[in-house]
Amino acid sequence: MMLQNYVPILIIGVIAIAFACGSVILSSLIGQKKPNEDKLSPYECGNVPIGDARDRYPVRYYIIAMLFIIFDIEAAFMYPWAVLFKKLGWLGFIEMMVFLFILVLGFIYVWAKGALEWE
Amino acid sequence: MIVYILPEVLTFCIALFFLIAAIKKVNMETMHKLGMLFSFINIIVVLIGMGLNGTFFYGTYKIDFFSQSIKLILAIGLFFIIFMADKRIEDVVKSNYSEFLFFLYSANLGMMMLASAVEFITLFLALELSSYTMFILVGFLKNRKISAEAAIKYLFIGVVASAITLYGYSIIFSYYGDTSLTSMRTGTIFMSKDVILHIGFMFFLTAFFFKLAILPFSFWAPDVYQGASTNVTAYIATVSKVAGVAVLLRIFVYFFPVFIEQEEILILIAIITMTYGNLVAVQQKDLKRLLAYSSIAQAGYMLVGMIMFNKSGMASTLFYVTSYLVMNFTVFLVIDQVEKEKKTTDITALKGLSQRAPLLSLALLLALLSLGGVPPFVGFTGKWFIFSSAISKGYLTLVLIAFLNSVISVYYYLLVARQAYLFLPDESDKMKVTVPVKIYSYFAIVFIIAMGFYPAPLLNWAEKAVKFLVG
Repeated sequence: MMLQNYVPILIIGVIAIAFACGSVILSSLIGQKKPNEDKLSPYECGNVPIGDARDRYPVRYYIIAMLFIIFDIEAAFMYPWAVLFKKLGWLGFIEMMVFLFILVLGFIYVWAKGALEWE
Repeated sequence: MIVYILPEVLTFCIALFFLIAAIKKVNMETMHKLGMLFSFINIIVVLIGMGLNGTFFYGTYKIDFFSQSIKLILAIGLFFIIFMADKRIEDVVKSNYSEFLFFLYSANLGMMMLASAVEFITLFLALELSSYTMFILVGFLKNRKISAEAAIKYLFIGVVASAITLYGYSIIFSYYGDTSLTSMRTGTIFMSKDVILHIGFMFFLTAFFFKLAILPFSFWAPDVYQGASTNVTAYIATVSKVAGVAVLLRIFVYFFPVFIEQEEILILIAIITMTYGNLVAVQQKDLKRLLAYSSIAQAGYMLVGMIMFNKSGMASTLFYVTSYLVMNFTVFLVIDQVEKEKKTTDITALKGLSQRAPLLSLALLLALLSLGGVPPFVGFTGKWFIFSSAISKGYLTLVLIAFLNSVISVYYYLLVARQAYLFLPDESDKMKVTVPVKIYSYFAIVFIIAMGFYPAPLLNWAEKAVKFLVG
């Protein structure tokens, strides 16, 4: 009985898939094919592409990205805490300090290991 | 309140200590001694808090005799693993030994939380904490290609398994609108006929099956066992099995009206798991790969005990997994000793071990026979409890298949023992065995024989733990 509510979603899914597949298959069947060099090159805002799209970049960016996520989450976590600071009282304060302490320990480790040095 | 979660807090503080200690290059042997000391203190702390009871953090965290018992086994297992990781460990691990201990303690913390969590988000976080640390531990030998490959495979399969579990839970959540397992427990009975809900619960089991290496999610096992450092492999093969069994027991107990309807599927999974593990293990030439397949098969036996959904089946599973920890750890310890000397884990590395290290090879032989279920050792007793609880529920065919499987397993366990006993060694000198390893070997021999003849203390303890879990 719960399943019946999902029938419209199923129908829309089927139509979407049929439309996507159908337009690709139909255009490859009845469309005209006059390939030339410009047409076959990858589309990049009309410019001639330079180099490979899969470029290599330094692994350090990953560490920066990870650190960013950690402090991003910290900020996201601290905001509601700050709003409800008075309601949460001392317990909330201590718990937040424990959380920050752990985070800072991790940061000290990363710093001391030299992950933040660019060269 | 802090008294109740003291083992976890202590484990966490120790982990942080090792993280900070990693900044300063401290001598590896000092760290090893500190790690042993801390894990010993941890065991004592868990023992002191054994009788505590209560629910904390708004009903997300349950402390009872069951969870404390599991924590005790985990703490003892961690002590064994750190004891095994002595100064003969690989150089890469040696130079990062503090981090190694940090990850071990973090994984143990995750597993301790896994034993206590009764709320889905807590459960999932604990599961991920133990999984992620293990992905890193597997890839710890960064100069070995096979280790990196194992870590990547482990990571991908693990992430997919976690994702399926989350999806399954999202279905369950759509029925209950609650993440607390304890409050869901009361409502389960009324809705257990719905197909979608059953699919949700089936998906929900994925990550836990992955942890125990039960068949559809066991393909990481051989590569990971082979690729990781033997210390880490021993950790995955022993301690993490205990945690996996503990959490599966809790899930099966809490939602048994649902899972009892899926009995046929679960029985089929158990049969396929043990048959596959045993049949493939027969052909293995690498000791660690062989043990990987053997552990898949053993997970099948454990699943048989768990899906009986009665107290005797669950208690015998707990009994079996505890004895399995000692048996399997003994085998890994011997392999580790041999590997450090010969730099290979090929089955021929054990050649003539009985003459070069009689005590070690006796411990190995007993552990292997016990794993294969030969009477009168503890493995036989454990299997006997599991199979008898299955027979008392009328699953004759299942027990027959499991029995045949355990006959197959004796064959390949004896193949390993044959190398140690029937061949002459290439070298004439005795193998150097340190005193702690000798002490452990005596302990293992005594445990395997004594618990085989007189399983009552361990079984009584398991029954008491299960009583707390159900009650």
